[in-house]
Amino acid sequence: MSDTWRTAEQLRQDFDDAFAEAVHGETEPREDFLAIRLGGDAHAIRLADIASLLPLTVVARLPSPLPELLGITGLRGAIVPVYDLRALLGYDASDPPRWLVIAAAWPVALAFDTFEGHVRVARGASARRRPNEPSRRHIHEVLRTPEQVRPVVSMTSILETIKTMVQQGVA
Amino acid sequence: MWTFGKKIAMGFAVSFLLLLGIGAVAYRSIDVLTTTSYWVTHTHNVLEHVTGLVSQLSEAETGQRGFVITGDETYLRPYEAALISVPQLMKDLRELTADNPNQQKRLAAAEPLVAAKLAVLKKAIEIRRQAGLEATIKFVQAGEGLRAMDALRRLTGEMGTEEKTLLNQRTEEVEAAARTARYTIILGTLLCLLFVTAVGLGLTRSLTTQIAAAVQHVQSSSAELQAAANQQAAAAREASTSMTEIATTISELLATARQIAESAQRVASVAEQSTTAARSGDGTVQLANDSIAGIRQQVDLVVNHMLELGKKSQQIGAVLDIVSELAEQTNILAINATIEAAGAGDAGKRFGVVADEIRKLADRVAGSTKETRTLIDDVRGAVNTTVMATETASKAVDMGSRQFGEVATTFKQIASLVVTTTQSGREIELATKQQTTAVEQVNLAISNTVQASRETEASSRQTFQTASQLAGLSKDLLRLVQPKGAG
Repeated sequence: MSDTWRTAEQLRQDFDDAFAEAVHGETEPREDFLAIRLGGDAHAIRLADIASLLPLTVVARLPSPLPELLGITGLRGAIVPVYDLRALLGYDASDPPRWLVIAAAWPVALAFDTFEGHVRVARGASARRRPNEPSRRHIHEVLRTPEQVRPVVSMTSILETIKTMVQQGVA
Repeated sequence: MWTFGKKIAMGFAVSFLLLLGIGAVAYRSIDVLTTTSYWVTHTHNVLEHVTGLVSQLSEAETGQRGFVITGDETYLRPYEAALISVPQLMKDLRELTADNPNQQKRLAAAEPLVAAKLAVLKKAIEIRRQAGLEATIKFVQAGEGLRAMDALRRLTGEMGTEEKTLLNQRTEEVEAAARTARYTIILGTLLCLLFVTAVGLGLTRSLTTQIAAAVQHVQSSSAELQAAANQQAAAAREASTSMTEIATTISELLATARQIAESAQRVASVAEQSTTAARSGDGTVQLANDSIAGIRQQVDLVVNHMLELGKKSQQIGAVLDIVSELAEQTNILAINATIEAAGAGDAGKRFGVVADEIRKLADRVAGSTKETRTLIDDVRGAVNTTVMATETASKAVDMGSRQFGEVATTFKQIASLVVTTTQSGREIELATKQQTTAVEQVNLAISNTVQASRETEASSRQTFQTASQLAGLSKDLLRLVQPKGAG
């Protein structure tokens, strides 16, 4: 109980200190990532690449030749298509996804399994994939943290692929 | 085969019959002889009366003749005597010859003659007295009296002749009867002597043979009796010895039985103490049973409280789910706010800081929620473990209660058995006392039996002596019935 009280006291102290301290500028540049899991594997999505994170509620399925297209969903009055990020990265997509991220560059929603949290690292913590590391689609860099190494999903590559598939499908 | 007594009885019976026959014949002969002698005497009596009658009448005539001649009254005495005796003689003759009709006829014919003679005599006397001698001589010379007297003598002569004939006949009968009796007695006596001699010889031979055989049997039996008496004496000595040993054993048994009785008494006393302790233990068991029931209630209460704590933990878990959900949503909102702040450029930096603080807070809340969930899970696990342990304890208490109930039941049974043991101990004590009394009686009986065995031994010796004497007597008797060289 003493540890719990101590923790509570620390939280209260930190919370109070947060109001007491002045707002300082960034002393060092940082990057934000979303830690997610796709098919059981840890991945990361750059926070600057997305416009929003939200739980997947309702998806209206559409007849489509694209298996990666799950359907459409409503988002703040707009209708956006929902693609399965697992299928796009070549994972098993039999289980229903629970989370969505909205791409910042394009109104497209990507569904995935598990949201693990927000990761803020110093800029430069992500690096290009090393030559000896295996090559995978839509993975061009990795995020290295003290705990683990997470492949960073390239939203640009994903959106290009979707665009290509849509154009091919329309054609 | 006839027995000796039967033979003797038969010999005596035949001899008795022979003697009886001889006696009967002798009696008959004597009776005939007596009767015949009576009739001989009777005939002599009749002859005497007939002769007397004639004599009396002759005496009367003689007296009358003297009176007539002399005129002296003294000569009339025979006449006067005849007047009295003649009627009596006539009466006696009628009675004596009542069985003889011929004599009765002659008496009937003689009566008027007697009366006429007496009348003639009387008339002559009266004439003498009245007319004198001459008249009387004339009257006598008339011969009336002589005729009557002759006729009377003729009749009395006939009567005498017949009576003599009868006398001769009866004399012959007497001689015949006497002869018959004599022959019968002589022949019967000879026959009886012969029979008795034959029977005596036969009985002597038979008796000698049978007595000899019996004596030999008696001798052999005496020998056997001696042997048996010896064996009996030996057996009696052995029995006496055995009985003495048995008496010793019985005495030891008696001592053991008394020890058993004392032990049984102690057992009964201990059993009574056990009964008292069992009753006390029963109360203690009841108190312990009540305590176990209280423990059972407390355990049930603890289980209920633990179950309630489990429910509360579940409710806390549900609240934590809400808090976790809120923290996650807050985190998502903070992330989205961070994204929005980044999109707002410099104007959104301050907002980004706040959003970052909110995200950190949400992360901390999520971490605390995880810790709390871990704690709650630990609590729930502990509650479940406690409930399971309590239920196990409850089951153990139930089991213990049941076992204690069984123990209590067993204890009651033990108490009942102790009571039964007490009763049995008393019964054993009583039975052992009775057994002791019985053993004492048996000991007394054994002592009596020992005494009886000794007496039997003495009696056997006496029997042996008696058998020896009997053997000697048998030899003597054998010598008596079988002289030396006969057997």
